[in-house]
Amino acid sequence: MKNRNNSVFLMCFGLALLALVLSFASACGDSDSRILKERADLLILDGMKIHGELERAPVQFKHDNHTLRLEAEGQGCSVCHLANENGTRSIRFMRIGDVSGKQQMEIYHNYCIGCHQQRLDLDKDSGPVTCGDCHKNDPEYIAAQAKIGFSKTIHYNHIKAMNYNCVTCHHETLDQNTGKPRCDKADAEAIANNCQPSGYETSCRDCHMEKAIENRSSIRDASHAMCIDCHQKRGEDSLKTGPVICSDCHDRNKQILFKKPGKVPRLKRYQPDKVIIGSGNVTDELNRLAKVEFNHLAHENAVENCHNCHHGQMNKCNSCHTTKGDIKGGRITLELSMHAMNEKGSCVGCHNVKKKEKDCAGCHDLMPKHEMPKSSCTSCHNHHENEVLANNKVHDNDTATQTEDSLFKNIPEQIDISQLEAKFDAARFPHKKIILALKSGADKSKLATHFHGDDETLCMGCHHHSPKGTSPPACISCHNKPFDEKDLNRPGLLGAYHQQCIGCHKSIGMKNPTDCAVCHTEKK
Amino acid sequence: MSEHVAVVEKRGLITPFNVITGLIIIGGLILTVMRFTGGLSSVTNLDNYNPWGFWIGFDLLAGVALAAGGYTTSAAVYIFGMKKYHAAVRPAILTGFLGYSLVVVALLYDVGRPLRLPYPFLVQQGPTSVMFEVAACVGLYLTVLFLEFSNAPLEWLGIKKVARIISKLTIVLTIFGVVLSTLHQSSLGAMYLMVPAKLHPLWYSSFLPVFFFVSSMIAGLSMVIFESAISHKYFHHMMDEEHKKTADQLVFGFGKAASALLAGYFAIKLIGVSLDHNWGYLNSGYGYWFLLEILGFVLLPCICYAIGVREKNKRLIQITAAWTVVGIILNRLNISLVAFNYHLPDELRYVPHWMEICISIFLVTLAVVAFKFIVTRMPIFFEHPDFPDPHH
Amino acid sequence: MDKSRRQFLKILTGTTVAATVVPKAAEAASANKHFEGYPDGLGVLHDTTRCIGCRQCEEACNKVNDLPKPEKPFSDKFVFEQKRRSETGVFTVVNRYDGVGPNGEDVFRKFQCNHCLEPACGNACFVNAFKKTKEGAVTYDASVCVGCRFCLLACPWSLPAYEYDNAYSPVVVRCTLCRPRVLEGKLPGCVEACPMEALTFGKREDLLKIARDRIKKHPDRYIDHIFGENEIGGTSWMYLSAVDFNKLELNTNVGTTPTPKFTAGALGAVPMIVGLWPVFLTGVWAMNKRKEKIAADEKATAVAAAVEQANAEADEKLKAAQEKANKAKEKAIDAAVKKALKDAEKALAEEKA
Repeated sequence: MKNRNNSVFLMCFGLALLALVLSFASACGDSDSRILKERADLLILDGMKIHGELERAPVQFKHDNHTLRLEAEGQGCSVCHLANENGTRSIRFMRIGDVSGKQQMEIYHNYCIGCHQQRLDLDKDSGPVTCGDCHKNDPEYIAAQAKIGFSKTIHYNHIKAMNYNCVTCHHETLDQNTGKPRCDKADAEAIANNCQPSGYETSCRDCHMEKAIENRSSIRDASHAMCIDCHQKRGEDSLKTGPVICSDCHDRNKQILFKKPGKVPRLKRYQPDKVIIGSGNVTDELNRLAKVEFNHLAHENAVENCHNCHHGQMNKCNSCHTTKGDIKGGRITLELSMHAMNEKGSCVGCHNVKKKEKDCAGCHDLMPKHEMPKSSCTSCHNHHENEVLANNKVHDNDTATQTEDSLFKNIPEQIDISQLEAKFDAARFPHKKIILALKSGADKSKLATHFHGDDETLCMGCHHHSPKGTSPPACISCHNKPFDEKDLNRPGLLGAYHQQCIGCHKSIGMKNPTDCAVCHTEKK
Repeated sequence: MSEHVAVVEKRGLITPFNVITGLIIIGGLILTVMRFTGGLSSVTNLDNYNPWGFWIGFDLLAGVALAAGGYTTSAAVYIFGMKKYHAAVRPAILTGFLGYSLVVVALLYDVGRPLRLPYPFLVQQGPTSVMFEVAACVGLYLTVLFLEFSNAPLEWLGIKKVARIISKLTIVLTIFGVVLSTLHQSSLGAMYLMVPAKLHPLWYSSFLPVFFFVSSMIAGLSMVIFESAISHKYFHHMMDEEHKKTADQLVFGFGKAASALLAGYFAIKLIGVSLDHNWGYLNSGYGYWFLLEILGFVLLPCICYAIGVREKNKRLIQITAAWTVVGIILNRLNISLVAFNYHLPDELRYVPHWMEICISIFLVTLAVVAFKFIVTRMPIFFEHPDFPDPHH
Repeated sequence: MDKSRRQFLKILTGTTVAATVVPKAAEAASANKHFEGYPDGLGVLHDTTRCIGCRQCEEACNKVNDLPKPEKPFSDKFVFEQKRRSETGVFTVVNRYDGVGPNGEDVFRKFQCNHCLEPACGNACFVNAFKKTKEGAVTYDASVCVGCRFCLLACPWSLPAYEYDNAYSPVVVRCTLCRPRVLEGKLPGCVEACPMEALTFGKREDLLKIARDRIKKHPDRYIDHIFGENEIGGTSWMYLSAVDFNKLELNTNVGTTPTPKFTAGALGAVPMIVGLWPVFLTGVWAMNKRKEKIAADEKATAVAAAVEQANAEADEKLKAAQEKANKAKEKAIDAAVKKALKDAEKALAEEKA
């Protein structure tokens, strides 16, 4: 009997083990990666981590929900944001200065859970009161605040609304006690004192950094305190005002709705129309290449924000980016700061971005991207020493004045490409129409006309790897059999035609670029 | 003995066993005609992502593993000198021989051009292929098994001289058989070494050949216990005294060995997971299935065998043997069908066609019928009086 | 005697274990050998950024290899709704991957045998039906194929197909890199037909140069990886892409080890086992036989001794019994003699009276 008992016990144990494994299998499903929803108003409350390791998951706080709910009930920001001594509002929750870890936790718990509980008692819509409902381990949302910057347009909206009273925001211009300008000259000393001479106001980011420095708040705190406070007050006074809730600023879809006045007048800061860019040091031995005549006005019109180029301080580039690469400029030399191919802040980099636009991409997408064409250097480096800029004019090429008669009159209307007729009939190539389309596209952009020099350059978009001129070689002169060992990168004629044509059509965003019948009909 | 034969003949042809196997065989023959006139797609669900299916997984892989009783038993008796299992040798060899024959017949069905099966030996060799080695070793081993088995029919037919010559070759054949078995059992696992990207990491290991070899020994021992239990039930009348006397010894002795091997196999499986840092995979659907396989079908039978041996509980050992056989089949099917192509989406995965399963049942039935025919006539469960075993 | 036998066994076990493990180590040493393909071996570079899904390659392959005409014509673009693969009568297909391009556009990719430098199918085939030729193509000899389909299993990308519908003479279906045409100096059918030159044909080493050059010149257009340069030890058919290759069903986790290396260890162990197992097993058998013989001898001696002792005891018993019998006999004789004498005396006395 003992035998049987043991075996029975063992079988039961075995089955129990199996049952355990199987129930484990069914209970724990695979954690599939959920796609988290984006919210522009989501704040991840993990500020406690400055006090030590977090015991629980950070709280996902939906700010707009709270703002809108309180607003609907006739309450404002003061419910959660206390007033500072100077009348502005603290952007921290229920506190003004720094507090200890324990105090911070208690503030959050008491006021959040307290308020939620109160509302529950009054049968109103409320939030979580238990730990796990706030400190969620499986968050549903992800914080996605789109960056908002002070573009030319937004700045113009503000200065009109403020009646050109710069001091309202550029608060370091006047001394707070005397009301007099703190400095009247824009020089190194002024800049060192963070003083903004009138007329030389600078961007907030020049002083307010990512992190707070002593009693100078971070850019985030400063901008929220300044912007939202003002918008809130104006709203109370029933004046036209800006966004107050998170998503109205930080949601890309809402950013599109900002008011856009037709033409924004030029921002006045005594900036030059034309600049001669060199190394900045006239005695510099290395400074031998012809300097660059830079059309500052044209570039101002082309960008939305000074920060595109003046990305650190509103200074001359070569004050930080020296020839040899000063630590001030992050060891980026002047050359690299101007020519870096993939940096939006460099001249060449920004131009490369422009070349991706539909009017340009048809030709420029097919060109190699790893180095600048050597011929383009003198398009910029064209300042002759001792030459005086008459009327602030620089050597501008203005090809828009050339008309189609002058250059393109001998180009045929249509060419029938029949060298490879096999499955398809001859391809119908509307040569003149295409070159005129290219010209009209290029003429829209001063950047294009400047660098192209003259219209003959446009021919080189297709008639490449050959001298510029009005009678360039035909495709078949160079493109013959494919896969020639002597020139590995040169396609054969069939490939050359299709890569050039379809490549361009794809880049300019043509519909159905790969529809064969558009160019050639199939043979019956 | 003549009395044994007389008992069989008196029973007549219409027995439940004959009727059922007869129906299965008729059905199998119909499916065979379909297979060879309609091509593989007419009876299987094989496709270009899943070239090997139930026939390879069950008939070939599981079949070869379960037929390993032949070499394990003869090695135990003739090489390691454990004479007390002597009575189990012939039945084990017979099971092995029928098992390997079943494998070769199944290959005739599975392979696209079955008449070309001898090509790797006769026409052109591909020695870089692990499967070439499998084919060569299986072919040779089938010959060895045939020779080892041939004693029984030779004795039955009274061809004394040849029977005695083959008797003398026993030890050579046994050693050769162990060598060949080690090679092809491990190489069947080595075939899957080629596809690390297609086999789930929990089942893929550089030690697959070792896993296959060790589990083949476990399979062989368990199959011998299982077959002995069935035979004692249905062929008791064919057994001589020695057979009946040593039956219990066989169960306990093989049970002990199987327990030890299962413990070792469990350890090396875990080591295999550890070496490739695959613990993380255990927390997934496939992981739980793997745990089921090694906990429920390796660790559990290991413990049950041990308890059965210690408590002298024959019934427990026999049930465990059947359970282990199921576990080996599960392992081979897991590697060839479940863990293989784990990365493919569900709609591209393979499920066996019912006709494939029917043909496998048909082939197993043929083997069972052959087994019955042989044991009820030839000296498998008894010693032929004219041929006393010289090794006694 | 026992000690030396034990030592011998230890040495045997040690060498056996070592021999099965050492091949792996020796393998690692010879792993410095890396087959970079035959010099001047040819290949094809498939630039997926150029492919427009026109299916001219499929049509050309069909024509050049005399394959059966498909149900839907090659101009049909609705076939792209499903993902296709090679199958009976179809060596190559183009698949479309919706919206995976960098600007949300569709990307097309051509599937066909990749003609690996160390092909898995070649390693797997037990009748050596696959050969990696000097020209770069991996050829398949249908005249020896048994139809085991190990090649389908072994291919890391499951590229070959099999004629499951064919009952009598099924063959493996795969791209041949148009070797007959290449030997005549022609281009492979698909390469010749591609209007965009998305398929570049040439020496493999040149193709790598071209691919690297393209990536350098257009870093925004390609991701910096040539698929097939090192995958599975290198393939003759290589790919460039604008997006992650896995999005185009080019499985990147196949590693860079050529497939034959995976089984080299196991195959290397075979001759070791063939050499050592018989020695080991014969040794065990011999030792058992010796043990049995010794046991038998000891038994025989013991039996003999016992028999002798039994005989000796029996002899003694017999002697004792005999002596007893003799004594009894003598006594009886004495008694009888005495009786006879007495009787004789009596008779004599009666006669005298």
